[in-house]
Amino acid sequence: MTPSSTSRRHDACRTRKGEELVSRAWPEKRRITDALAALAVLGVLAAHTAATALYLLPRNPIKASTAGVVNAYMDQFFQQDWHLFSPDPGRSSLNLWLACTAEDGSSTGWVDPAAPLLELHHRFRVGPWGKLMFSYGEIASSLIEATAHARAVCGAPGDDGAPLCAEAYAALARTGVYADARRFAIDKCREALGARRPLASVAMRIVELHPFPYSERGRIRLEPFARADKIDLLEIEVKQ
Amino acid sequence: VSPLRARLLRGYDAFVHGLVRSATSPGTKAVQRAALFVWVAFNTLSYLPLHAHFWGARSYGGDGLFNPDNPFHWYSRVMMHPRVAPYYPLFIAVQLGAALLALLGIRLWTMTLLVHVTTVNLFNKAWMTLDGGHNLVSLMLTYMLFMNLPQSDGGAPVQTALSNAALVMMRLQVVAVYLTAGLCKVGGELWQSGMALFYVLQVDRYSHPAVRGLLADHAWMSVVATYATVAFQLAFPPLVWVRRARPWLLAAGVFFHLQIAFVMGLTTFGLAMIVAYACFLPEAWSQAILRAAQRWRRAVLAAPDPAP
Repeated sequence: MTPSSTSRRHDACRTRKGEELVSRAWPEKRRITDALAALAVLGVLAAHTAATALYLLPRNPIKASTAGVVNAYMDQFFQQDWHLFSPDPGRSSLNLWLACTAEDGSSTGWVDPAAPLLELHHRFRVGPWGKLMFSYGEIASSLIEATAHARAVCGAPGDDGAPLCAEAYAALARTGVYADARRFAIDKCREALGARRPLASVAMRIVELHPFPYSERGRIRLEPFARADKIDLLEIEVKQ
Repeated sequence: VSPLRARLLRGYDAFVHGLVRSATSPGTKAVQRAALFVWVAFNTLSYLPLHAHFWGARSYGGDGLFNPDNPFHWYSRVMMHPRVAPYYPLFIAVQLGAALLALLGIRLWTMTLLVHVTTVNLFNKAWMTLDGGHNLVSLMLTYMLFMNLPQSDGGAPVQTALSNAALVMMRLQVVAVYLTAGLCKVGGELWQSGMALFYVLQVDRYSHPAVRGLLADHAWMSVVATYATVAFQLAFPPLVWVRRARPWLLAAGVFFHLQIAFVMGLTTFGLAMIVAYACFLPEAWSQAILRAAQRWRRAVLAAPDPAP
């Protein structure tokens, strides 16, 4: 680089106020490597931004044709979902109620294991209780998804309190979701009955609680919910 | 050289030099880093009293999450490996220790990597408890792996460029959250009618007993808050790039997310969004925050022992 070109380069690197924009020591060779580095990183940034946009966009022909590549890339460390109560927020809550029967014949009746956690969650916003309550709700959600097919096979979906038919129940009982719910139910019932009363059987009921619609808002202060849809599962015999 | 060419050359030089040879907004990066590590530690500590229910023998929904044939699982789900699972307290200890050392600036990239690997494992195991806040934080931590690369302060061109690009990506990620959520809400019937928040706040797990009755008595509050939510989420993506609008927008966002955290009870999500705002702080503000933190640290360290 000649002295005059160095001077020109130096002049070109000052703002109107005379502030130096780039280092004086920016030799030609380094300029090329820097330009290549900038180009490479900008390429990565553009590709990642495009992949994120395609991943988040609603279904469209471009998304459909690139889904294989985009999902394989995004699902590892960039998985995301920002629906956040949209397009419409959920208007009900799912719970798994249990009825625990001891060997001496005494029963707890239907109890909601998440109820004490909800109370704690309302009192203390910072703490693990709300998180545990959500995980109990997730067991109920997974279970109702798993029973959807079974209820369709039975031909009596949504029957209030109706047990699932035998074939559908057998299919459901083979799923991991059911195994998890069963373990949860037995654990919670053992806790509820205590060590002195050995557990004999557990019944599970999926309950969907619907709050009052706006037109019936006057009842909100009087009752906790407007309607409860129930699905009863077959009783589990517990061997000690 | 013609004036136009000189101008273009100057712009090009400034852009390339700014990207690969100088660490953009070092103060903003430091504040964002600190905020994220504090959130990670706060989140884990809030789970700690019931740790066995989330990560240990009393947890549910964790079976079959580890697939040995998937190479990524050896990084992000290794805690679910049957032989590793009993040692989950080690992941908690490493995560908290690494977050503390990273906050102190010790072995920054190594500590960021340790926080990343332990955090994604702890999140994946407790998947039933996750919300959008955990999702955003895990993404931000991934970007932070690039932001905190060694020699990214201008010493090495590729590392510096990746670090600067990571900050840009963090900002775009927050914008993507609002853009997606805002546009999805526009099509929702309840968001259009202004009754979305009335119904959300009737579901007991997203509400508080005091609020349920309040909205029943004053429906206008639901309408105002519903439309304000959609307006804020749609306004954020374009306006956050406008320097003058940014402080007002961030202040409104902090108020909005505190409401989500403490009224709706989605504490981790509300606080994670506020933490993510740090990447939009102007450099001067970030430097002022860092100076204040430094003064506070000195004052704490210099405090005399309490009298016996």
